Amino acid sequence: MSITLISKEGAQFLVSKPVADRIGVVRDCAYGADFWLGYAVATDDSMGITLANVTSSILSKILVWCEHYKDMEPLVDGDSNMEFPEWDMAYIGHDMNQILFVLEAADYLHIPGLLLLACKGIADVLDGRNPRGICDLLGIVMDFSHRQEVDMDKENGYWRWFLHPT
Amino acid sequence: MAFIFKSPALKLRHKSANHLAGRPPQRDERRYSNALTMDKLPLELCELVLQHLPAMSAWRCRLVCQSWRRYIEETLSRDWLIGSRLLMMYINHPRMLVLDTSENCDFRLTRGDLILDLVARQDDFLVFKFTPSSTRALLQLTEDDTRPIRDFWPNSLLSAGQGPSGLRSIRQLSRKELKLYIWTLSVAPPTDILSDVRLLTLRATASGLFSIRKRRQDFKLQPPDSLIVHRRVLFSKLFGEADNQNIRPVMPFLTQSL
Repeated sequence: MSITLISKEGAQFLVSKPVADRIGVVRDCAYGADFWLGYAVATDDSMGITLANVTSSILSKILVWCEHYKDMEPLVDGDSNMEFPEWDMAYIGHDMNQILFVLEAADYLHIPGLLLLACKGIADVLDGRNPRGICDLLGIVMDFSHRQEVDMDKENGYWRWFLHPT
Repeated sequence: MAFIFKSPALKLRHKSANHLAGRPPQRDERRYSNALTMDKLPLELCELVLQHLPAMSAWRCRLVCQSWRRYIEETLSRDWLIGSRLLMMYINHPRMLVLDTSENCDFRLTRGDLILDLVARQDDFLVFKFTPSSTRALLQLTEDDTRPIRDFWPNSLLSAGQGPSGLRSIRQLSRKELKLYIWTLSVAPPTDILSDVRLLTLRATASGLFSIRKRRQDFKLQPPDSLIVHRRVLFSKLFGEADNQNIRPVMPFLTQSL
């Protein structure tokens, strides 16, 4: 059995069942309420599933991941110390813009393993950067008031350093 | 009366007009919003990303914007101290309690000093060490003093003093501040009290100690102010080097003069 996925631009992707099972939204759509019975409700292959928020390029990239993980279980849970396989890190790369789109799409499509991997990828990019660089990278406006900046300077020890320069 | 009736309505009208006209939001309106432009990253995903950063980088990221700062300081940094080797702290409160062993009680924390002798864990508290000089005060306690503490820390051993001189009356106790001396089992056997005792002293208000209904909630530790350090200050001291390098050159005239 195969399932047709339709991206935002209308491009159609024909994927097999184990690949589509990795995507939570598609799995729910295909099996519907009869997920526990184990057979598909949507038997008509010609009717595709529209993923309105995912572009074709990102969807094809996500399907590469799903294809790789169709037989084995991805890492789903972890913290900052966990190690990912080399294939994963090579897959996610260092392109910030693309990882952000993958992260959003993984959140939208309910793929916990890919969500974790994208978080790890972004964290690797952000690690070691200064806050101003992060602001430029993510398009964030620094919204601190002057008073808060002064307070943070004090906490960081500048004030003490000013009083007792050693 | 007329003024009170008018003012909220005027405020609302002003805000909505500002919004409908498409003007940029004022500074106060923008302050509590998620500061991400466009919809690049929603805040939930930001928090997910920040959880994957190592502690030092994450602490540096608190200078990015308000929402990040609030999340890092109030939620994320709470977990970093679990299992670390400080003397004692109350993790779940933003103003952490850190007790120093030295006599002067001056809080000095560098990375090297982080490695300290003893760690145990009782609920929210990470544990304790003490100066030998306070053993003298330990002897003034009676059995009744230690009962509420035993409820609070069931595993800790408390030493009672000799004689009834420590406890006067309940009324007097509720007015005064009690001194509690807590002694953990893992540190030393009871025979070593006078020679090598490591204890924790805390002053607790006796306000809720003797009420039966809400004893646990009312039991409140009140250490002297010099020992309370805000979690923010602590991490800024720990990770301060990173901030110094990257944020901006503060006091340039000073560096020139040096």
